[in-house]
Amino acid sequence: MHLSALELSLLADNELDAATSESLKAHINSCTDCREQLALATAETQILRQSLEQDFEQDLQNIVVPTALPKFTRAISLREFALINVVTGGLLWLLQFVWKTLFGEAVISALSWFSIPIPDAYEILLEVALYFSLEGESIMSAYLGYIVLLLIAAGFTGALFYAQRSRNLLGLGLACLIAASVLTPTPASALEIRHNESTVTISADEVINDTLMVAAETVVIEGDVDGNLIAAARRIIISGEVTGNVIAFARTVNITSEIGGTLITAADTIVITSSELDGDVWAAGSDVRIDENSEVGGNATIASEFTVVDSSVGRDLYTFSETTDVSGQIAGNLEAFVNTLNITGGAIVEGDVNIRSHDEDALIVSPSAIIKGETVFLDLPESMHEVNRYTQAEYYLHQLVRLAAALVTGLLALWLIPALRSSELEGGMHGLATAGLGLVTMISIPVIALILMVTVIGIPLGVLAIFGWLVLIYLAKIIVASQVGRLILRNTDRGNSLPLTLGTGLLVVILVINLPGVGGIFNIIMTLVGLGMMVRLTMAYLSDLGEVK
Amino acid sequence: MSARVAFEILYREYYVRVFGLCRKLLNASALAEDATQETFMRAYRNFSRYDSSRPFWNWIATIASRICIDQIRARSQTEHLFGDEHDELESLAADQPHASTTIIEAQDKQALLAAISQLPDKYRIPLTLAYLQEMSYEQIADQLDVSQNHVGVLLLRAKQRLRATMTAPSTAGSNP
Repeated sequence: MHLSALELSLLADNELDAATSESLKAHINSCTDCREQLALATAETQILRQSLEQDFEQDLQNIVVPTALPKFTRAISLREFALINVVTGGLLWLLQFVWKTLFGEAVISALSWFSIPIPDAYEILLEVALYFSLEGESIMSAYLGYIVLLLIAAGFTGALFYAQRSRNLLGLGLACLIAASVLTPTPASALEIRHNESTVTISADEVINDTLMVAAETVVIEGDVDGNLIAAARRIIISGEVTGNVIAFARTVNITSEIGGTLITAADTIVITSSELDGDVWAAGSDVRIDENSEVGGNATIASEFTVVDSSVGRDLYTFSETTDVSGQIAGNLEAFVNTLNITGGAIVEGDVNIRSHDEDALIVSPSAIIKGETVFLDLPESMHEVNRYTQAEYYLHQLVRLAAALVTGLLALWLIPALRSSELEGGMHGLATAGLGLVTMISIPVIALILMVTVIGIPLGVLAIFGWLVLIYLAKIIVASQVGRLILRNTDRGNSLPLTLGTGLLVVILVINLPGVGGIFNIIMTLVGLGMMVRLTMAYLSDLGEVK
Repeated sequence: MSARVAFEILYREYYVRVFGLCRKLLNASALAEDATQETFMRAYRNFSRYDSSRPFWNWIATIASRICIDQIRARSQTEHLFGDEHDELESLAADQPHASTTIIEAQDKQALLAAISQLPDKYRIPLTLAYLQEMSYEQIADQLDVSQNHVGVLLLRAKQRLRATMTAPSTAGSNP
């Protein structure tokens, strides 16, 4: 019995099991015919192999790799999903922030600035205040939205953990994300906001029964406001009654009014006449005057080049200025950080007069002025009552909270960006260079932010840069801590557990930075090293990208 | 270096071979382009499953052939693309005569390749996988979703067809 064609084929392809193969070979050895057939079959497969191979290689010659790479995408992992959430939230927030500043405010304002070539400090301050007074609430609500977004993401992430990561759930999560993204930008505001490029006037017969936010070139409040008033303008004139607090930023502020709450104002010139201010007064400017027909119910704190307080002050008067003239009745103490303090005739100080100045000539007291308390010259601000913080329970509680917060933040950051785990603490020149890099980063970012802020359009970017800088500084020590923890637990079997290494590292770091005396130095060094490590990682990543291109 | 960047390098390096294989399996350039893209996409998504101790080519070729076979299946719209094992065996018995003449006798390689490309998909594909891709019967069986025996039969049938075509001088290259 000869071998079948199938058997020959299988034998030639070497696809028979050992036992069958052996028994067939036994036959082949004794059968010339079959031996020939097998040789033919083997040669046949050989020919086929060679032909196909040669043809294939030849065929490849005319194939060209397309220059455009396909967009490689793959199902995202849990970590990536969370990262996308965070980034989307952040971008959303940034977009809103930039959009509103650039187009909502800055561009419009910039147009009106063409006549003034260089905006001065007040102008910039005004612009910032204007922006925040208008958009502060919506920024906050957007931020709230961002938190909600994160919560949704966190909730979804949790659900994902339990539900074995099915595609449908991913779709659901993305839907949640999109829904949240769409919903968050709507700022809910229950305020009355008035915004006009030229003048906003609240006429005398008008009553605002709500908090009033107003921004314009000129703001005139003649009517009453039964609530708070927040105003930003080049010129603000308030003559109506305000039951709540007043916050006013402008180049000039004129107040002839009754204000039920606190007055906070910053302007080049602030003039308060015939006003009854029931609460505290916080005023900053280069020229601040409160006339003798006015009354301040609470404390008055004034920072200004020239300060004139002719009114009565219900409590203490704090003045930080070049020259301060006082002629009214001060019910409390008079605290002056001044070069010259004039207490003119008719002035009555019920409490003490404390002057932070070396120079006794700084104080000029009219003979008809009355100082009931003592007059004291103080060289330095009274140092706060020294408390040993290590004996305070709050201190330890605070450190515990700090540890917990850092642990949570660190776990999240290191989970989202695992590259942060890959950096290593180094000694010697390399470590020094890393710290140097950190120092440069630490200094350069605020400088860049400040430069950005000089231009109006750069304000949001500058604010953002500062925000990012603060985040980096916070993360810096966490990254150092994770490395410290790894070093400590390196030789144990728990050396790869992220929560454990991070927790241990943070504990050590927090202990070290709270050491009396040297803690501050360690704090700075660790921050610098951490910053440097992050910069190095970023640089390595960027150069990787560059090399491949 | 990110996985994506690494993968882009692999893409540039293996595109030609993957495309060539797809073209061989599908017997059509236009379809091969889609299949190649699909192959790299699938490879990228499953990159984590790639065992780097084995050649990348083997891995991606397996993916490519699977995709091509799926495409051919969809194209042919028959459930049993590779036929029924018993039917094949029976038809095998019908033209049993021994291969006294073999395709070796045909010295013309072009004619042989033409004959291969003229084979029906059900023979051409296992033949390509076995002798170009050097896959074992087991691997082919897995790819075609048939038994190993069936693979052996298909390959034999393929070779017999080629023999028949090659030894019929005037009809070489025409549809058997």
